[in-house]
Amino acid sequence: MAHQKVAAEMTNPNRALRGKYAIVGVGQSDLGQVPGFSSLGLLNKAMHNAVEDAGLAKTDVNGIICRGPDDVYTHHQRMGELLGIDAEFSTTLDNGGASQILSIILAVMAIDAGLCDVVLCGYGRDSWSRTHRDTSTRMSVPLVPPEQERAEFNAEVGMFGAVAMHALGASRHMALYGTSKDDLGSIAVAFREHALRNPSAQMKQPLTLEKYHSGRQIVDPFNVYDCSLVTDGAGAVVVCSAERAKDLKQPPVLISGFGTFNNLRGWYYDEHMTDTAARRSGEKAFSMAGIQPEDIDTAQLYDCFTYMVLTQLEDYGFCKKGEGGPFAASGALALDGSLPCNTSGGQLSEGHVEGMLQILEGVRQLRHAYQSERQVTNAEWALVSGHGGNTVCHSSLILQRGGG
Amino acid sequence: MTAVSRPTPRPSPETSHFWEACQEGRFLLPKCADCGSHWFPPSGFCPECWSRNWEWEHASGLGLLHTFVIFRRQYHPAFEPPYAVGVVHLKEGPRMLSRIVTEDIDKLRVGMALKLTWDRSGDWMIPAFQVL
Repeated sequence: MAHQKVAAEMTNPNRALRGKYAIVGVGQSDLGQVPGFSSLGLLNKAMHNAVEDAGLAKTDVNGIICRGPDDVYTHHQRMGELLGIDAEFSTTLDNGGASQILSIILAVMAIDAGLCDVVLCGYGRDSWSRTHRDTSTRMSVPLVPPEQERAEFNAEVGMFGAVAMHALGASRHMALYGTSKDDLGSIAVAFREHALRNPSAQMKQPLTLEKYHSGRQIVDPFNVYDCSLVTDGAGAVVVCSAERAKDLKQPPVLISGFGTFNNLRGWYYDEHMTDTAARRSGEKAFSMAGIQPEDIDTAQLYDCFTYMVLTQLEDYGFCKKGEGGPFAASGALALDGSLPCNTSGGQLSEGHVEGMLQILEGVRQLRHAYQSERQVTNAEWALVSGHGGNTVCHSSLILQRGGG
Repeated sequence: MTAVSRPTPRPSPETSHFWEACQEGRFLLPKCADCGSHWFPPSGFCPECWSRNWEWEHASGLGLLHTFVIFRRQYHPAFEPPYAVGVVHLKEGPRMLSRIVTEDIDKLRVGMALKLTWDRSGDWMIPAFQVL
């Protein structure tokens, strides 16, 4: 393939940054149904926990990068106010589910440019409480939010929601490559198995392929089990130099590769639904890290829907285009499979915090933080992905166990 | 029960002519006079060559079903499921989202040939596509 040759021959200009920065702290809020916390309150808790995890103090933090939530203007300013921190560098990002890894990339860029030293990145949203907290809320919240009702060339033809947008891609992939509902189901089943080992995961009941097929249809080809959860939750990480990380509390996890790509011409353009921005985003990340897909010990992929995992397995090069279905159905994504994937349960079964929990899980796996029933054996390299912004924005992160 | 009306088009300054033509049963696309590209949604510059030299052209109303979904759950009170929404690959090149009108929704297949029809919604004529 021409593009692979170009990527291989290209010297990634980011290589100078390889392993120069690290994730030194991770934190999260409670997940699932967490009454009594606003979006900002959830994130405040996650950020406190991340700084404490790092063994740092409030006074060490001089950068804040946030994503949303969608309806809070200049979110980083509110967080700085709640945390009691004036920052050398701060901003709020708007790249959907691709924002969380982008915040880490931006943190590296800002520290490397000398703008700050220790950056808190995070995201939180009280999604469950907003729409599901009691009967009157459930009855009064419209399924179609006002901004979608006004979306030209969508609303007037009855097109609503992220489920349908991603289902368009799944439908085309099934037509082009013979991908089956069993294939999609195997992803939901694998992640549920992982969630059952995670005490903080939202979903507590086992899921079989048979039960998957009996799920309520939402938008064909997706049923309820193809869709990620509605979650109150937040996650945060602390980024600083690998040099400084040596003296901190936790085993450092090095930021070895990253990449971004954005198919801004749209989900309908070219083959963007089945050859997603993950491909070129991933090529850059692998090139920077100087490793290949087969070197990855665990993948934490953005799973807003089962199909997005399937196409990313192909787009990142873990299998050929069109073979993501059989690859997933083979059991490869299990904890003892060839590519343990979304080992905390993912957004399909742990909780949907817009990709933040995937980053946390990648870090924890590389710290070897778990007992054997949850731990990927000898995990050295992790790939984490972020996807969003109306399905076309993508960011990739390759992490390496440090201190070796 | 009061019937809830469907969301109506929200023309922007760049798309209002497209919608005005629709109300007369004409399906127009912008076409670049320099590079010959058509595009959708309408905008003031050719997205391929950035030319400002373009005009509205009558489109054939023919296309292929690039992909589709079937809404099984009710999202909006004015849209009763099941109904199909698809991405139509127009003969002229661009792709657009459309209702797919068919007698048997379960027989829709990616790649099917489609032709333009009109979906009347209140005072509006909205482009839709049916299986050829």
